[in-house]
Amino acid sequence: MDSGQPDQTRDKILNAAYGEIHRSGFQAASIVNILADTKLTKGALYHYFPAKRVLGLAVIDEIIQAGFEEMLFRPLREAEHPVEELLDILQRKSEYLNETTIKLGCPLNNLMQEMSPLDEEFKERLTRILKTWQTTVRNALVQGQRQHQVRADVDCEAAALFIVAAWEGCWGVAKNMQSIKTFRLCMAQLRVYVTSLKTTRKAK
Amino acid sequence: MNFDKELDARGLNCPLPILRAKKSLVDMSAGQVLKIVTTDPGAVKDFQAFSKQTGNDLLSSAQAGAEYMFFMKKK
Repeated sequence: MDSGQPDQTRDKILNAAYGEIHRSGFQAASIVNILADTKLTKGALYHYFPAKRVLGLAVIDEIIQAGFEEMLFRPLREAEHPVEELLDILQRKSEYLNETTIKLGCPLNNLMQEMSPLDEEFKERLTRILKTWQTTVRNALVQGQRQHQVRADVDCEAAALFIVAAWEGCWGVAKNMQSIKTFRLCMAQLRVYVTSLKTTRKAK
Repeated sequence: MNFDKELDARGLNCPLPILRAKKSLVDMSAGQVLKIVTTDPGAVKDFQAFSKQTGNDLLSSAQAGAEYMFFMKKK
C-alpha cells in the first residue's frame, strides 16, 4: 500500500505549480521557482511530471477544474433552489478579494487567453471547463423555471452563455484596471441581471 | 480546541485550501476534527459554504493577523 507520502509530494508540486502559473502564465512559469517552493530536486519533480506541459495539464485538471467543480458546479447541481445559490455564489465571490487576487486575475481566464491559440490539448481541457460552467448555469436556470422561480420566457441556454461571458469579463476588466472596486461593480450588475430573470412569484 | 489532523494551507490561494481540506477529510473518521490554517481571506466564506454543502460541521473560524484558522468536524 501507498504510505501517502508520494501523494503528498505530488500535491506539493501541484500547489507550487498552480501558484507559479497563476503568477507568471504557463509559458513563463519557472521550474526553478517551483523547485524552490517545494524544496525538491529536478529529478523528483520529473518523476511525477515528466514534462512541464504534463504538469500544466495536471494543474488544469486537478486544481482549476476540480476547484470549479467543488466551489461552483456541485453547489449549483445540488442546491434545492439553484438560482438563489447562483446569486449567493456571485455575492460571495465578489466580497472576499484581495489585491493579489485582482492583480493575477482568474486562473482559467488567464490560461484560456494565453494557451488556447497555442496548444490544442490545453484548449480542449479549458473549453471543457467553460462548457461545463455554461451547462451547469443553464441547468440551474431550467430548474428555476420548473420551480417557477425563473420567468418562462427566458432562453436559459443564451442567458447561461451571457452569465459566464460576463463573469469572466468582470475578471478581465478588473485585472486590466487592477481594481477590486471595478470587479465588485461589475459582479453586482451581473447579480442584477440574474435577478431580472426571476419571476416575482414565491417558490413552490 | 482539540483536533486530530492539521492542514497547513498557508500561502495557497483559492481553490487550494478547499481542495486540500476535502482530501484531508477523506482519510479521517466521522467525528474527527481537522484544523486548517490558511492565509486566503476568501477561505472564510468558502469554508462556510463548504460546510453547508458537505455537512461537515464548521466548529469555529478565527482570524489572527493575516492567518485564518478553521476547525471542521467530519460528518
